Formats: sequence, structure tokens, C-alpha cells
Amino acid sequence: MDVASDAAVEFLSAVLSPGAVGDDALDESNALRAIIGGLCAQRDAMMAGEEGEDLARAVCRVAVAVSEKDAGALARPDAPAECLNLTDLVLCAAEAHARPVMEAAADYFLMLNTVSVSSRHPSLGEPLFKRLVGACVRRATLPADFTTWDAAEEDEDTFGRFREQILADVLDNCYGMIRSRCLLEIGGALASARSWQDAEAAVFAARAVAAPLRCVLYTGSHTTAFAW
Amino acid sequence: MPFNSASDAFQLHPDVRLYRTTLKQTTLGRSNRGGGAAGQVAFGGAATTRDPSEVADEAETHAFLSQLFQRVGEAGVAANAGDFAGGGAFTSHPLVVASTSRMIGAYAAWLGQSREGQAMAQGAVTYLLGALRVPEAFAHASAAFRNVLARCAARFNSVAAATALMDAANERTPARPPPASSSSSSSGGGGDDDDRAAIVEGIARVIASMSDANVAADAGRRLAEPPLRRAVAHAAGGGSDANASLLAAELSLLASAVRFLEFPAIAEAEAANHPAMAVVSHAWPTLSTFVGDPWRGVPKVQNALCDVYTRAVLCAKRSAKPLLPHVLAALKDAFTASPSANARCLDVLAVIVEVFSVGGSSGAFAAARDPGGVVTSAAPASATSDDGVARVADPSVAEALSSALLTASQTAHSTLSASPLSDNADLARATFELARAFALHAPAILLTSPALPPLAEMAAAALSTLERDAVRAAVAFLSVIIAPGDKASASATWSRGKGAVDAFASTRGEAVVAAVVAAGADTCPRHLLRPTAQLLHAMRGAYGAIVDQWIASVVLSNPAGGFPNAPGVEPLDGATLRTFCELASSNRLPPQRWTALVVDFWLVCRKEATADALLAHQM
Repeated sequence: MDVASDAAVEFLSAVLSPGAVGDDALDESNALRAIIGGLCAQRDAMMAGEEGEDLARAVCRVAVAVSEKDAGALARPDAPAECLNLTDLVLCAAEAHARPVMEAAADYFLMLNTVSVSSRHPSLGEPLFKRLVGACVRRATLPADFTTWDAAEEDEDTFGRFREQILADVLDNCYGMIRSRCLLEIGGALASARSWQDAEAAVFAARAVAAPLRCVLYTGSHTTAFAW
Repeated sequence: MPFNSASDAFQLHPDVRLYRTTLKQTTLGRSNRGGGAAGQVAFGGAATTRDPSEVADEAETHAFLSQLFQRVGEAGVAANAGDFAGGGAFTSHPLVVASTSRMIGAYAAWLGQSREGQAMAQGAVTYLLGALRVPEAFAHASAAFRNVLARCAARFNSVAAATALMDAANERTPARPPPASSSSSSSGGGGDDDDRAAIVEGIARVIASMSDANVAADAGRRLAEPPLRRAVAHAAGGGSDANASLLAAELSLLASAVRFLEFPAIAEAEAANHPAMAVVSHAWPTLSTFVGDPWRGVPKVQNALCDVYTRAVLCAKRSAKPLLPHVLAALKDAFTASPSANARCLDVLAVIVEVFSVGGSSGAFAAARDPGGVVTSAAPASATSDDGVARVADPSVAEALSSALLTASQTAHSTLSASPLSDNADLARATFELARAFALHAPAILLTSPALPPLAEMAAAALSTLERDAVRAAVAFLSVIIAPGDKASASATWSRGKGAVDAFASTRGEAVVAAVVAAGADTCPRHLLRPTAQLLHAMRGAYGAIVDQWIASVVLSNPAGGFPNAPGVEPLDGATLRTFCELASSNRLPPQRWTALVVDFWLVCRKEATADALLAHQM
């Protein structure tokens, strides 16, 4: 299954890479819809607990390739239901599964955020990014049985890299998109923390948005997400 | 992205629309403010009016952060009372304390710059003081402590606040460098960094923001006291390597304390009041004991001392004059005791020369720009002996530096000539850099010093080694004395003193050229080929056609047959060598092209290019 799904991901990513198929726009859009439909059909299997993690990761990787192909089409205000479904699926997977799925899914949200707000379906603005902040905080949380790095299954460097590079990047985008509402989400996570691990993750998120926040407050522009 | 127009883009994306300033008050902007149609609001007033939703967002941001830091401050009060359980979420675990400390550091700008943040600075610092007690959080807490104090210095610079801060920080500073935590090393700090330095630096920034120099000097002495006391305690433990490391760490903390105590407004007349000087003078009786045995030959300790001297001189500038005799004596002592281990002493000397030098291009520009300004140096830039060349104006300092140069070069010479240069590469580098510093900042001293010929001699000998730093410094030094620049060459200082350089060139010039040409073709580090070729060009410019003959004699009449004449390197054919010599001796090529020709020739010698490379220069 692993080998087969890896191969499938490779194949689909290759097909989706620029210039891989002919330049017939109609064919291409049909193929894209077929792939999106295929991904969405995996929902039940990939959301079936830990078993579904590998599948979820594979689906997210293909979804990223789709978003890189044409994020605009995925996010259009009049986008077909399966496109919105795909975004929801990727978000649900990132919320439900462990770190590798968020690692695979992160680029999907970054690509969506390249689409201007007025060309985007309303659900892909604040609602999406609010949920994403919550997902980031959850993924930034240390395991409940954590005592010290020496005793932990988790490798400190790997965990640190994931937080500082991937989650911080996603949170930066979330802040750029929803500003103070992003802070309120983080504040909510802090207020509802039930363990020190929860609190620590929320504090991390509050730090991660400090850099974009500083840009907005003191230079009046948020340049990290959209550089001209 | 399928935008219909730039204006479309500007209304659409939250990031894009913040680029208000890129579109000036155009007709678009004006019509928008008047019209205010739905969807156009974001594009509205360029610099004058702001989107109400942005104003509201900013207010909400400040409110959120205020609330967050309010709670952090409360947790800090509890933590400092030892009640970690009472601090709530922010003190619930050592790792939370570490993360919170780091977060506070990330908001240092907000704490310093916004009205709302300034109100929270005290609480943030209180929290960090509590966090310093948590070993897991120490690295992040000390870094954040420094960042916050650097931004909020003015809030803590009253005598009472600064004293309280120092006492609290001192109580929480461990007696020895805490083991470097992996989290601090992964976040950019070096492995050997002493996290305690950040605490000292933070307080030094507060002291540096005080308006009264006397008060600042008192505070500086208070800041220096604990590391000095610990240094004495470590030193009393005997001369073991572990003690040397501990002692050096405390001296480095002292250097950190001095580092930020810049008070540019203090004139030389009040030199004794300069806070950096006050700290070092206060520390001197203790410091001077570390210059002698058993620490005299311990590079760790001497390097740390050199760090203190350097920081003090860089900070106090010419106000450091009263300290100079002591520092020079200490440097001489350490350097002569162990020249190869204490090469750093020469670097300090180079810094001193630069700091005490006046005039020269930079000084002349400053004087020209600010004719009415107060000249704080001992002699104004328009003194009679001033000929536009940098010099050490103060006669007593000049004399001391002159004698220091002589001692340094004599000691370096006897060490460098006793063993292969590769054994003392750093000493060679420091020696030539010192010589270059004198050539640039105090040529009058160098040109009249008996140290010049042996220095030039050593530099010439270093050219044919593989030591990149030594070669770089030697090339730089020789280039400066041979071609000091048009303006300097025309000055009285250089025309009076050039005799020594010329004498060197007439006796040793051929050997230098031979060494340079051979080194370029073989041993010279790749990235130094261009500066080395420029040195050759400088010699040609200074001494004319005779240099061409020297070059030709190396290249064409090598007795052992062929050039390059190095083991394992195939010599070039005669035609190529002759082509190069013809090109090099013609005066057709402008300086940069001539240099390029020499570099290309060397690449041909190294078989990194073919003889065709010379063709381009023939056209």
C-alpha cells in the first residue's frame, strides 16, 4: 500500500507539474476535476483514525500539487463544490492527524493565500484561517507524556524545525490574513489550555506572529507574504 | 495572477492593499476618498486617512497584547516570590517559562515603541527576572532580558531602578557559565557562548541611556563588580585549565559590560568621567594581576583581557588616553612573554592606533563638514604639521605607540624567524595587520621607525607561504607602503619618510617581485590572486621599468629551466612566457587590465586556463 500510494502520488504530481500534459485547456480542467474528485473520495478512509495517516499525507501531497497547478481555480467564488470540499478535506486532515500530515498540507494553504481575497470564495478567508490557527497550535503541542527531550520519543531538532519553519510560516500567513482575529484565536487557545503543553504551544504561536505583527504595526506593511 | 489592473490588485488582497505608499496621491486616491463606494474603501486615503477597520484592528492588537502581558507580569510577580504554582499557565512548567521568555523577547519592539507596550515593560522584565532562576529557561530569558532592556532602556535608567535591576540580575546570575542549552544553540547562539553576557549587556544598555555621566560611571562600576569578584575567586583557585576558562569567562563578561558604555558627548577633558573608563580604571588593580603569572602565558585569559582593552578603547575613544600607558605595558608584558599565543595583543594595538589617529581622509571630511563643531582631539586638524595624512596627534601617545611598534616588531621578528611561518601563522597575520594599521593611521611613526625594514622583510617572506591570512595581511601591508595613494604620496609625511620604503625596494625589490610572481603561479591562495597582482602593479607604478625587468628575469631566465619552477608543475612553453613579458612590459594596458593580465597568466601557469587566455590582452 505504501509503495503503491507513493507511486500514485509521484505520478499525479508529475502529471500536474507545469507543461506535463498538452495545452488543451478543456482537457486539463477535466483532468484536474477528476483528480480532485478522486482525492475527495478518500475522505472516509483517510479520516479513519491513525490508520488513515499515510493516506492523508498522500492526499495532501497531491492536493498541494493541484494547488500549485491552479490555486485560483480551487478558490474561485464560484468554485465547484468538490474544490471547496478538497480544501475542507486538507484542513480536516491537518487538524486530525499528526505532524507529517501538516507538513505535507502546509503548502496547500500558502498557495491558497496567494489568491486575492476578492477572487476567493468567502469560506476561504477568515473562517478557513481561524481554523488553521487552531490546527497550528494543536500541532505545535508537545506530547501529553512529555517530560524531557532526553526521555522523549520526539527528536528536539525535528520538532523545533517543524515549529520554527513550517508552523511559523503558516501562522505568519494566518496573521497576514486575519490580523487581530488571529491573536484572539491564540488567546482563546491560551485561555482554554488544560495542560502546560497546551499553554506552551499557545505561547509559541503568540511568538510566531510577533514578526509579521511588528511589520504591520511599525512599517504599515506586511511584506512577508506578498513581495513585489 | 489575473488582476485586471494595478488598482484592482490594490483593492483585493489584504497584503497588497497595505502598499498604500507605492501609489501616491493620484487622482484615483482622491476620487476614492470622496466617493467611498463599497469595496473601494481599502484603497482610500494614501497617507492621511486610514481605513477604519485597520485602526480598529490595531487597537484590538494593542488590547490583546496588553492583556497578554498583564498576565505575564502577574505571573512574573508570583515567580519572583517563588510561587511558580501561583503564576498560572505562564509558570506551569520550565519549558513554558522558556517559551514565554522567548515570546517576550520577540515583542521587545512593541514593549519599547508603543504606549501600550511601555506600560507593560516593567511586568515583562519582572517575569524575565523570575525566569532567570529556571535553568531550562536561562538562555532565552537572558536573551530576552537584553532585547527588552535595549528597547526600554529609558524606563529603567533612574538610579533606583537601575540599581534594583542590577541587584536582582546579579542575584540570579550563576557563578559560572551555564552549560549551553541545545535550544539556544539551535536558535543561532554559538556553542561556547556564555548566556550570562546577555544579562550584562542588557543592563549596560540601560546605563548607556543615563544622561549623567557620573551616575552612569557609578552604575558601571556596580555592574562590573560581580564578575570581577568572581574572577578573583576563580583565579585564587590556582592555574588549572578549568580555572583559566572560568576566569576568562568572567573577563569576557566585563568586556560585555564595557561594550555598550558609549557616551559620545563626553569630551576628552572629562576623560576620567567616561563610564567605560570608570569601569576599567576601577577594575584595573584586579585586571593587572591577571597579566602576570600564572596567567601570563595562558592565551584564553590574555585574549579575554585583550577583549576588555579593545572594548574599552573602542567605547571611550580618545578618552581612553589615561589608561593607555597601563594597557600598553600590559600588552607588552603579555606579548613578549608568549608572542605566538598572544598575537591578539597586536590586534589591540592596531585598534588603539586607529582610535587615536586624527586627520586622514575621514577626519578631513568630518572637519570640512562641521567647521564650527567642537574639536575634541588634543590638536585641531589644522595644526602646522598637518598635511592631510592621518597621524597620532598627541605627542605622548605617538611616542608610546612608536615604542610599542618597535617592541612588537622585534619580538615578532625573533619568533617568526625561529620557525616556519606555518607554526605562527596567526602571529604573522597580526604583525602585518598591525603594520598596515600604522601605515594607514600613523604613517609618520611607521616611516621613521627602525621597525619598518624588518616588517617589510617579514611580509615579503610571508608571500611565498600557503597561510592565507598571513599572505592577505602581507599583501595589504606592502601595497599600502608602496602605493599609499595619490594624496598621501604627495604629503610631506610620505615624501619625507618614503626613503625607508625606497631603500627596502632597491635592495629587496627584485626578491619581492620574484616571490610574488612565483607565489601567484603556485602557492598563493586563489582568492588573493587579484590583490597580489595589484601589489605587483603598485610596484610597477612606483619604480617603473626596472620592475618589468625583474618580472621578465623571473619568468624567462629561471636557472632551473622554465617557469613556473615548482615540483609537479609543468613549465610553460617559451612563446607563452615571452608573450606575457611583452604584454606586461608594454604600457598599453590600463591598471585593471594589467592586473587581469597577470591573474590570467597565473591561471595559465596553474593550468586552470589555456595560453589562449593571454590572447584577449593582445587585442
